[in-house]
Amino acid sequence: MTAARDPMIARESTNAEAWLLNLPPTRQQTRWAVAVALCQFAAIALTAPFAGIPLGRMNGFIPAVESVVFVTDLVTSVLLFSQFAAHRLNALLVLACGYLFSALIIIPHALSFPGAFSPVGLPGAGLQTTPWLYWFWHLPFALALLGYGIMSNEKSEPGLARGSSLASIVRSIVLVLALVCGLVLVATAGSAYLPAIFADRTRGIPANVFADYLPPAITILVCLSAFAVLWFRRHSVLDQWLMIVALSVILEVVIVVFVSPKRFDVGFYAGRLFSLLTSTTIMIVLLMETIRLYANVARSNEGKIRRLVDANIIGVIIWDIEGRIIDCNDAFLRMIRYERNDVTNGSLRWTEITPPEWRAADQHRLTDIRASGTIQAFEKEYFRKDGTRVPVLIGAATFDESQDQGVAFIVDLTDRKRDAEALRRSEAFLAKGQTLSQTGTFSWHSRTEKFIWSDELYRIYEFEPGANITFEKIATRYHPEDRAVIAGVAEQVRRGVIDFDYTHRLLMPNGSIKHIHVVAHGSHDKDGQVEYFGGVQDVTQHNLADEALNKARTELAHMARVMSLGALTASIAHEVNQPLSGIITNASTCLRMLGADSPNLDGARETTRRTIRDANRAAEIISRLRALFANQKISTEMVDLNEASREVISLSLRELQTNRVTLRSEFADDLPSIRCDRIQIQQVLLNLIRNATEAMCDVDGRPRQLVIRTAKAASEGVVISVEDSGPGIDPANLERVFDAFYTTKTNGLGIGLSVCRTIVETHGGKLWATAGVSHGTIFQFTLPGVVGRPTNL
Amino acid sequence: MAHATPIVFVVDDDVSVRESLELLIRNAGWRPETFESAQAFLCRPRVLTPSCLILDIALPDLNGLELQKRIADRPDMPIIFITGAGDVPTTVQAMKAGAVEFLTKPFSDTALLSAIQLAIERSETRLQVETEIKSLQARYAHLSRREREVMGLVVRGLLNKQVGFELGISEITVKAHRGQVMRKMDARSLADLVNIAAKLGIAR
Repeated sequence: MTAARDPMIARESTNAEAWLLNLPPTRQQTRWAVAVALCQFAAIALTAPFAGIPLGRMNGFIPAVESVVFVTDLVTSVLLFSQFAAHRLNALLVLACGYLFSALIIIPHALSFPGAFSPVGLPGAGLQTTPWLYWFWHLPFALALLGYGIMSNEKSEPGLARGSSLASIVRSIVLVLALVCGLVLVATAGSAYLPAIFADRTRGIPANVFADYLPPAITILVCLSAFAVLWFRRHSVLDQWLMIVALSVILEVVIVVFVSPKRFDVGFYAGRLFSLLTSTTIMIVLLMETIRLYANVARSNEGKIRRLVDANIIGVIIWDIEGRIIDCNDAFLRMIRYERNDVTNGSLRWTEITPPEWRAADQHRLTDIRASGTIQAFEKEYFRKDGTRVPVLIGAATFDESQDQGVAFIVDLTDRKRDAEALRRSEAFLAKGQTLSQTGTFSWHSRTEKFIWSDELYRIYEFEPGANITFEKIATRYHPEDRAVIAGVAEQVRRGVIDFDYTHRLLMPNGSIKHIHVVAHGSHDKDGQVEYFGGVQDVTQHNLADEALNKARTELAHMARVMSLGALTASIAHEVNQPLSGIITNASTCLRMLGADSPNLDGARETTRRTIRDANRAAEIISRLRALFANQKISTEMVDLNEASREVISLSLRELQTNRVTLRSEFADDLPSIRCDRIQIQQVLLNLIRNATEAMCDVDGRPRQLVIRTAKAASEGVVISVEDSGPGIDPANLERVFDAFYTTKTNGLGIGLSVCRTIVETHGGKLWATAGVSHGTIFQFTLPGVVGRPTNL
Repeated sequence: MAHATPIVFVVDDDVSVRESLELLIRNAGWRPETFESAQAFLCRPRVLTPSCLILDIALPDLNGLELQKRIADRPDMPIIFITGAGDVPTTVQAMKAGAVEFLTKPFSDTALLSAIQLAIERSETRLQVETEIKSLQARYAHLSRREREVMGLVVRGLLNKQVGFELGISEITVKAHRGQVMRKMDARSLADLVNIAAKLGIAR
C-alpha cells in the first residue's frame, strides 16, 4: 500500500492549510529566494557595463529562448490551474491566466520577431508589431502578478463542486485566448495606429520618448506594486517566489529599455536570458516545492500508518485471497504465537489458522469484500501455534488496485471475553444473591427522574420485567393504609433527607400483601443533582414470623404474669392456709373436747391456746407478705426522664407500628433530673403506653394517636402524661381502674395499673387518670423533685 | 394385734397442722404419730396395726405424691391427702393412685374424721385378708406333693376318675388324697376349697 492511495492523504492534499500557497516559507527557502534575487542583481551589475556591446544577429536565439519560455509558462499555468481546481482560489486562477497568457503571447511575439522565422516576421506584422507585442506580453503578466497579490487574501473554498472550477478554467482560457488574439490583432493590423517604438526595423533605434518609455514605466510600476503587495503579505512560499518573478521582470525591463534599448547587443541577449531564467526558475521551484510537499505529506502519512503497524497495539496483516499472509506486524505474531520466519517462508496461512467452523463464514465475507472493498469488523477465532484458540475482532479492506489483496486489523479479545465472562458471572451471582435474599436494588436520578431496577425488584413488585417504572406505577402497589408512610417519605425527599430506612406494605393485584423494607441512600453529584441507590427487601415471611414471635412473646409474658400471680396466690393461700387449717382443726377439737360427756377441760384449754398461737402465726404471715412488697429495694439514681421515656418509646415502636398508632412526643427541654428507680418508672411508662395502645386497637375513623408529654411540675418535680385517642373510661370508673383485679380487658388481669400506682406512690408521686379533651383518657403521674424517704405501701 | 389401737400417721411440714391434727386424732380415739417430712416417715418401721396416713401434698424434698409412689406396696395403709391449694390434676393423680380422700385446707373436722374412719376400716380389712392368706399358705405348706397335685386338679373341676387318670393313680387313692386335702386345708366343701385356691392364687 502507498500513501497516495490512502483516502486520508487524499483528503490532506485538498486541504489548503497544507499547500505551499498557505505554507509559510522556511528559513532555508527564504535564503534560496534571497540568493536567487542577489544573483539577478549580480548578473545585472555584471552585464550593465557591457550592455551596449553589439554581438551580432543570431536568428535562432529568439525562437529557441521563447520556445523554452513558452513551454515553462505553459507548464506553470497548468500547475496553477490544477492548484486552482483543488483550492478554488481566484488569485490562483488569475495567476494561472497570467502564465497562460504569457505562454500564448510568446507565439506571435516569436513569430513576429524579424529574422526569427521570416525576415520580416509575422504576416501582416509591421515594424512596431514586435515591440508592442513585447509590452502586450509583459504588462498583462505584471497585472496578473498584482492581481494575484491583491486577491490572494481571500479564503480557499475547496467545498465547491469540481464542475464549477472546470467551467471557470475553461472560461478563463477562452478569455485569455480572446485577449491574446485581440492584442495580436491590435499589434498587427492596428500597428499603424500604434505609436512607433522602433524607428529602425533592424537596429531597433527608439522612435519617440513617449512610446518608448510609457509601457516600460507602467510595467515597472505594476511590478513594483505587485512586489510591494507580496512583500507585505509574504506568508507563503509561492508569495516569496512571485516576488522574485516580479523583481526579474523589473530587471529585464530595466535592461531592455534603459540599459540596452538596441537589439542584438549584450543587454538584449542578457534580457532575453533573464526572462528565460525567470520563467524556468519559477517553474522549477513550483515543481520542486509541490513534489517535496507531496512527498512530505506522503511520508508523514506513511509514518503515521507505519506507527500504527509498528506500535503493535493491534495486529495488522496484509493478506491475499489465496490464504497467504504477505506481511504482518509483531502484535499479530504474538497474538497467534507464531515466529516471523513462519511469515517470511510463507508457511503461515490465514485460512489454515482459522478453525473449520469459521471457514464457511470467511468465504461469505471474501465474497462481500470483493464486492465492496471493505468489511465491517467481525469476531472470529484463530488457532495459535500451540493449538489453543484466540478470540479476535477483525476488520479488513482490499487494496484498490487488487481485489485479491488487502489489509486487515486484528484485535485480541481474550481479555475482553474473560472480562465479559467475569462480568456475566458477577451479575449472575448478584442476581442469585438478590433472589435468595429477596432483595431488589434500584437507583433514581433527580435530573432524569428515571428508575433503574434490578430483575428481583420487578419480581417483588410483580411488574413486567423491563417495564418503565414511574412513581405513579409504584404507587399502584401501595397498601392503602400505608400511604401515610409513603407520603412521609416523599416529604423527607422534598426536605432533602438522603438516608431512608422504612418498611411498608404492598397490595398485590391478587389481593396478597407483601411487607417490604426499603433502605436508600442519596448522594449529590457535582451538578447538585441527587442520585439515590437503594435496596428493597421482601420481608413478608420475616415479618410474619416476627408478628408470630411477638404474639407468642406477648402471650408468654401474659402467661408468665398469670403464672407468677397464680404462684403468688398459691403461695399466699398456702402460707395462710396452714395456720388457718390449724386454727379450725384446733377449734373443732376444742368443741369436741368440751362437748364430750365428761368435758376434757385441759384438752380444751390446750387446743384454745394453740388456736390463738396459730391465729397469731397467720397474722405474722400476712405482715411478712406486706413487708415483702414494702421492702422491695429501690435503687435510685438521677434520671433524665426525657431520655428514659425515649428508651421506652423505642421499645414500644414496633408494637405501635403494628397497631398503626402514631406517636407524638412533646418533651420539655428544661426537665430537671429526678432521683428515682429508672427501671420501675420505665415499667410504669411502658405499662401506660401498652394500655393506651390496647385501648385504641378498635379505633377506626380517626387517628390512633398517642401523645407522650413531659413537663416541669411544682417544686422541681416532673409530670409525665400519656394520652390516647381511645374510647375513654366512664368517669365513674376513673378511680376504680387503679384497684387491683379491676379490668375492662377480656384478657387482662387488672393488676397493671395498681402496680403502677404502687410504684409511683413509692416514689412519693401520684398517678391518676382524667378524660381526654375529645376522646380517650390521659394518664399522668408526678415524681417529686426532692424525694425524701420513699413511703411504704 | 388386730385389736390394737389403729395408728394415724400425719406427715406435714407445718407445725400448726401437725399439732392440731395430733390432738384431734387422739381425741377421736386413735393413736397419732406425726412427721414433718417424708424422709422421717420412711424411717419409721412398718407396723401390722391398722393404720392410715394423712399426707400433705406440698412437702419439702420428697412431696406427697412421690411418697405415695414409694409406699404403693403398703395397701394396708390407705392415704388421705390434705393440701393448701388443690388442683384438679394433682387430685386426679392422687385418687388414681389409691388415695381414700383428698381434702383442701382448711378442712372440716368431720370430713377428716370420717375419712380416717374409712381408711382405718379398709386397713383392717386388708390386714385381715392378709392374715387369712398367710394362714392358708401355712396350711398349704403342709400338703404333700401328691396332695397338692390332686388339689390343683380338683379345683379345676375334674372328677375323681379323671384326676386318677391324669395322675396315673386309682380313683380310690384320689379319694383318699382328696380327703386329706379337705382336712388339712380346713375346707368344708369343694366350693370352699375352690375359694381357698383362688385366695392362694393357685392357677389353673
